[in-house]
Amino acid sequence: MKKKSKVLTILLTAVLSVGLLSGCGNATTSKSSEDKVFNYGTMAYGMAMGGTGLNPHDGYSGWSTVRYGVGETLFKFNESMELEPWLATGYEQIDDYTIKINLRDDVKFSNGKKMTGESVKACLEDLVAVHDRAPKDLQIKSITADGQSVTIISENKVPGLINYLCDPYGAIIDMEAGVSADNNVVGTGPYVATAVGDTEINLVANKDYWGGAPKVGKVNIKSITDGDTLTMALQSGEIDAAQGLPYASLKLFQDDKDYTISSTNTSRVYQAALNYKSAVIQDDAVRKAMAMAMDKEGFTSVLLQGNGTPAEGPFPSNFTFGGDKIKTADYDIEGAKKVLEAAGWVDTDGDGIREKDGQRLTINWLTYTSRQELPLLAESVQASYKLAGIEVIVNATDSYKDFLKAGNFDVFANASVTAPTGDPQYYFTTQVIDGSDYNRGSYHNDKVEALVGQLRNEFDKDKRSDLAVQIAQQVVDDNAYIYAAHLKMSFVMKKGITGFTAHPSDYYEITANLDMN
Amino acid sequence: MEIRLEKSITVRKSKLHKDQTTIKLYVFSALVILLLLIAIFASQLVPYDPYQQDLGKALLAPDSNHLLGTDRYGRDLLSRVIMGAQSTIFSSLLLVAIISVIGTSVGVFCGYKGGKIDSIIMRISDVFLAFPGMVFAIAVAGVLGGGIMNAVVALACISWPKFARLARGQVLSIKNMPYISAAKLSGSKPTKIIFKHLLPNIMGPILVTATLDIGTMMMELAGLSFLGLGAMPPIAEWGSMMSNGRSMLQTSPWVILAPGCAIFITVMLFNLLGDTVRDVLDPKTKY
Amino acid sequence: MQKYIGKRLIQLIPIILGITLLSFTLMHMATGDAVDALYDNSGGGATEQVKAEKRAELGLDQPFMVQYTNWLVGIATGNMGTSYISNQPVFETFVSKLPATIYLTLTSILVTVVISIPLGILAAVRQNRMTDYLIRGMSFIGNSMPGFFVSLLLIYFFALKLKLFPVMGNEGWQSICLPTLTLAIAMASKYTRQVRATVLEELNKDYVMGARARGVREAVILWSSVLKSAMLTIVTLLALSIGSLLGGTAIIESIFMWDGVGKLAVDSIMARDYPMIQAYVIWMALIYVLVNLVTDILYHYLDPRIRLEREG
Repeated sequence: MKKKSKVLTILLTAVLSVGLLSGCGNATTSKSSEDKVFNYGTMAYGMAMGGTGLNPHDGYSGWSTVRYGVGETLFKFNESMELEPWLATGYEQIDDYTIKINLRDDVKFSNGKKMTGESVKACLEDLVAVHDRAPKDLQIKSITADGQSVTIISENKVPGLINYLCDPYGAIIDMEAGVSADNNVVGTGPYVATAVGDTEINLVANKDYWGGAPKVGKVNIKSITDGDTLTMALQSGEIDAAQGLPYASLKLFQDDKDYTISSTNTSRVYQAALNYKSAVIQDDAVRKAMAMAMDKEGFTSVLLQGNGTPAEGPFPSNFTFGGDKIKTADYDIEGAKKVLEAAGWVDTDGDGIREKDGQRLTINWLTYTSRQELPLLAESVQASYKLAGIEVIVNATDSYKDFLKAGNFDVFANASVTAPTGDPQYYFTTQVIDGSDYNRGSYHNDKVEALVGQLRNEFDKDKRSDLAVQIAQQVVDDNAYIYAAHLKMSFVMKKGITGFTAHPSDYYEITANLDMN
Repeated sequence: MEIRLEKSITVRKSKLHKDQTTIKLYVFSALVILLLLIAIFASQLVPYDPYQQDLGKALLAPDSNHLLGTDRYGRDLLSRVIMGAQSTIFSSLLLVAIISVIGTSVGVFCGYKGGKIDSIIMRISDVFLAFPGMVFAIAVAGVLGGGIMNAVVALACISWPKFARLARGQVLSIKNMPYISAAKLSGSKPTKIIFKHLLPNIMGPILVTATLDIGTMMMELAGLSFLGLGAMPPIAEWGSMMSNGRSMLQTSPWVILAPGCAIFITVMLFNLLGDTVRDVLDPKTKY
Repeated sequence: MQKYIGKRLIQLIPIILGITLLSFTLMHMATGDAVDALYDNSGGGATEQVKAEKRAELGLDQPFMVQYTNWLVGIATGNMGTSYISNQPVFETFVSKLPATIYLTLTSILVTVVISIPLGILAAVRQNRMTDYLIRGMSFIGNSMPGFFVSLLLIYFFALKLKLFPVMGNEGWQSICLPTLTLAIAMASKYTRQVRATVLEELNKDYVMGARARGVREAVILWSSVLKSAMLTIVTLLALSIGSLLGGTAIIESIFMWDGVGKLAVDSIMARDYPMIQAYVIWMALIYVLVNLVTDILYHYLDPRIRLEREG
């Protein structure tokens, strides 16, 4: 047995020394772009996110195509979520159903072929043929190509057509090259994927990129689904930048000079949909009190550690129709108490919870856990509502659909991207009007119905903005939805990394601007 | 003369060991009972309301007001740890009780009866044994919803075969012993044989396994919390407290270390108790 | 022997049928299917119509038994189907993740055995002395912390502070050290105590006393007779452990981003990727039967008194 322990000791020492030696770093001198390697850890890629690979015509994979610099769309969003030309130079609205898009003349796919009207036509035709959401968004009747332009004729009036083309599924890829066995495609972007797996993507710079050769030679996208592993990988230097860090970890990097943080408000909102089918919710006073008793400031500044902005309406301030254009009630527990008292909700048995006509003021709060902020919101609301005399029972489960179907909830709290294409119509038509798929609370308001109808046919951007504000204000005044906060998304990166910024649309991450020093 | 001396030394040594073991038994049992009392009277013992949030006091380091600091909602950690004893310890105890009772019953039945029923039931338990535990737990949670009771159900479905196997093996080894045959021959009813002769003789290993399993089950429940399948907010439960506090290890370590120590001490205590029970019941291992 | 092995392997079929039917049922009882998981994780916003079409495409709208039978037929013809999520063939994806899990299993078992056998024997031989208490103390500690906590501590100290190992990943032999250690610590704790108990029991048997009386050296007694009997216990433990290790320790694999089948299983369950889940379940059934078979055969060789048929 002594011999065995001796062998063991020698083995362990050998292991440790080799480990130490290999840990002795690589001295870095100034590097040419060839040598620069950018390791990027993200929570957003991988099986759990429901889709791997880079084919934009497959579900949500287009997000990876555009995020990692492989593909580009005809138009893109700037920091204020306004449209900007990208692969296109501009567009002309010929009539309500026809639109002509002019393309850049200097764009080549990464395999050397030139991007022409014909190649864009082929790509878009394939998109509407195989994709699930695109055909319904775009409602394309026919496309004709002419040199460096395409003309699209729609079935119905689609004022947001150009916006929809900014969705990553609109990334332009070379249909002749098609999709490889490992879901790789040929795009126009600054990077080309050499290996596509379900936990890692390896990219190399596209030296002939139309926007100029990228400055970083290699990029490795690593999927890391565990928040602590992601944090420590960044701390140890195994990755150069991280997306999706848990809030508690951000503190570690905020005051550290060796790291930079790039944050932005996104249009992902944490909202509570109130169920009009529930008796207790139908009481206007209850809804009003609930809106007044939610501590949005505490939620964002303490629980989210400052990584969120209290929300007034469904859209954040980046949008012209968002932010404080909508007026809501302030956090006011005393006010909420008064509202409830006046409506007859009184605490008769002294247990801290109000009753009316023998019924306890209990709210069933349904939510799910895959977004770390939702359980935080639920617990925060539980405590602050109690101060006003409202009891909250939290049901946080991945099987929330069952409860939704059974109508077994008073409030459904979820996270929604409200303006993925920069246009307000999407939110209202999917969550607010009668019979829409995501109108979980069965909310109905005639005025809102009418306004949304107008929105569908309005092409003028300013008028659309105006209508959006009116609709959102009505929803908030009715207290049909309570908007808690807008997500602030952050990238944390090592000092010296530039050109890597967070974008409100969440579409753009790896670009030609990326550089490492 | 020398032989007599050696023998008396040996006897004295063994008596000493026996005393030591008995003392250990008393000490550990007392500690476990203390732990259970803390769990039962948790609501009376907590210095603060374990569910009261105070966002202004979030993540405070331990000080004289809050001996273990506060968590991200500003709740007093000491109170939450004491409160957590209830759900954590009782769910583990419940789980072990369920699997040992059900498993032993099935095992004794199969071992005694034998034959076709034995084969069929063992085959069924095979399926459960082969079934990956995590998959089952997640699936059950998907069907029943989250929450600690459902986690207990899921783990119970997976873990009972172990006790069944154990009990069955024990029964088989003593089934053909003379005293059992004697009882049968004298016309005793099967139930009487089982309860009066079989059970007392197999209880030893089963009891030991059960006690040692309390710690294991607590770990498994904590593992399920990691995957999001444990206690629902705002229930204080050590496993879910640890899982939720992970990301704060570097910035506010007390949030994860407090429940971590609680689990550690509890599991250690039950393991020590289990080991001592094993020593008491099996005279041979004392030497 | 051949006939015995054959008989045991035939048992695979009912077990696989039972287990896959069970898991299929469970998955279908769970709410949300692959389509829900697919769309809701990506920011929502797909209309019910879109989802319905996708369901029809995947065959998810058909009655339960029809789906199961279709899958069975597929298996019988050697086709495990394609993943609902990645559209890649299930078999290839699954098999590509196996090596990582097997690799981790082997290293964990190796480290565990290398640690626990010597320590267990040492503790038994020096029973109730300082060494014994020390070793037992350490084994208690190893058993009293949840796996995710141990891994957190290990990564923090060894990867972050001491920079001895990488935090995650698949490159080079260093990546496997921390996951192996995490698993080995928990397993070695159990094994050490078992080894100690078994060796103690053996040391008290009559033949040992007889050998001592005959003047045989302690070391020889240990190595030749006691160890052999202890092997039976070790083999039992290994059998149990290998089974669960080869199923992939989902938590460890998720934390260390170790691309094995455990992580695949958890991801697939979350995404309700039925074909992939079924593949995993079949793999578990396979391991279970094979490991039990090998164990029983080993028993027979280690102790010929044990017959090869099922107990009783």
